[in-house]
Amino acid sequence: MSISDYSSHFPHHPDLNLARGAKFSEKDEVQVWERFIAGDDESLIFIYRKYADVLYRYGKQFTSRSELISDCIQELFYNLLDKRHNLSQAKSVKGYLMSAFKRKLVRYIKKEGKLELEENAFHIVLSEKSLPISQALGKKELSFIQQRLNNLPVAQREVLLLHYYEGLSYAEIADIMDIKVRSARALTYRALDTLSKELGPYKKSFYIVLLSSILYR
Amino acid sequence: MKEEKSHIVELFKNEYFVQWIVTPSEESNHYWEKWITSHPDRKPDVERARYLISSASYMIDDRMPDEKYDTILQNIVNHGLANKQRSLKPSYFPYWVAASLILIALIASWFVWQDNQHAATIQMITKQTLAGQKLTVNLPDGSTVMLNSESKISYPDNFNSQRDLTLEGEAFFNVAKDAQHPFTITSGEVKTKVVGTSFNVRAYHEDAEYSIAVVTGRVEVSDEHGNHGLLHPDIKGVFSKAEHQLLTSTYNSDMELGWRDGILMFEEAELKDVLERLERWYGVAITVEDEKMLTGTYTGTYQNASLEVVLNGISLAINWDYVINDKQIIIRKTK
Repeated sequence: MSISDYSSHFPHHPDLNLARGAKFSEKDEVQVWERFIAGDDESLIFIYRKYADVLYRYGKQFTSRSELISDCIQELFYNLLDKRHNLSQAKSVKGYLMSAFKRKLVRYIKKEGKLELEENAFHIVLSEKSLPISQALGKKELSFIQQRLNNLPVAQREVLLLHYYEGLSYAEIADIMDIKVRSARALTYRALDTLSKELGPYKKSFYIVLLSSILYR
Repeated sequence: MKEEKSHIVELFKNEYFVQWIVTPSEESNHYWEKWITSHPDRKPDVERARYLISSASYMIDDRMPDEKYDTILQNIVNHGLANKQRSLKPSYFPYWVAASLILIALIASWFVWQDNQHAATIQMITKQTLAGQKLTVNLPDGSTVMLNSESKISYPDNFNSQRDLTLEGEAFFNVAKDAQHPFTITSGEVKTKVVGTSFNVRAYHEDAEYSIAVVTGRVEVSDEHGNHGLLHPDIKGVFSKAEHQLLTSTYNSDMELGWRDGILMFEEAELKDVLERLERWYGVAITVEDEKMLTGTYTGTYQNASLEVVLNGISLAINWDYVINDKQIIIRKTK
């Protein structure tokens, strides 16, 4: 019995993927969501395990108040249980959760005062990965790119993280940030154009080092 | 040089490429691997884009505190159960129906109030754990129940006057003394009745037997087949489901009660039961390549050990090999 055989049994295996932050495929996720809407609470637990930390981290960009963020996450899942009959077959579970969570959190923060982002909200860290390719980009280059990244306006950084880190599509991002799909795409392109202009001094070395690392691998 | 640069930016701007890097799926793997094969000159760009994308993360990258995470998970489970119990009532009423129901309820409650012989309706409270979880429940009468994994208790909300509780799975009870109100636990076909003691009940559906191990006080056990016994401290009663028998014996306390302190103990246990316990204990799914591998027994003790440590121990004894893939474990023959 191979792994792939096994996951085809997924709907009948409530034990699958009980890990916190467990990843399961898009296809399985759609199934899990449908089963939840059809009345199976256990399926929602999978969704919770997978996304609790994702939501929490996203909430942390807006406020440092851990309790408030956790309460919003709990309330979000209560609402899902209470209103499951009004839920549609979500095209994207992740997008839906993040969007509903953000609305809720921002509403609470605004109720108590002005929404002021955390100091390092949507700041991006580039960590050296142990890929063979990493010889191509030294610490210096990485920290240079990182610094340039974090000089970008916050909305651009938010889109970059949602797109390149969370892997969300522009349509999902538009929904979360309450902007048009066009604008989400435009923000990304603007960030990329700014970066590629600013990385000028590194272009050359960047590429030569890269080439040599591939040739002499 | 300029062109080379634009190549990588082009990849960065390709939504499908980005989603493939971040959340690859079978289809996207297939597509992009084919694409790279047909554009070998772009391979360096792809590698560089992959590297940059996968090295980025949030500066504020906090996880939810563990305790909070567990509490919310438990609350979601309970909220769902509470909804299920409520949803026995229809939920959409026209106004006038609701109004007249309220009127009827008022009249009825007045009668009830007049004539106190009608008992109030009883609400059931349910607490449940999933595989890999434990939970301590404080009952209204001052008793405490520690639930092991994949277990469930239900009891009425007026628990003080009527100490009846049902259990599926395993739990350790510390029952507050109240001679007027015996404390009765129903699990499957077995009833356990006490006045005030501490003891462990193991009654999982799928197990071949129920067992009740007493720590303090006296415990009365009975089943639907007329078996009946009084158990004392350090004695356990075992009901076998197949033979409908009740046997009493002394017990090893690590074996029966160790789960509370994270002790996992096997004594000449059938391999099938060993795997079942591991699934429950660690919240994983275990499959065996070949059922024939499940002949023989295993003996061993672990405390607060990781699943790997336990699997390594068993593999040495049995000559197995295993693969862990997140929460799925596959047991294979040693190659």
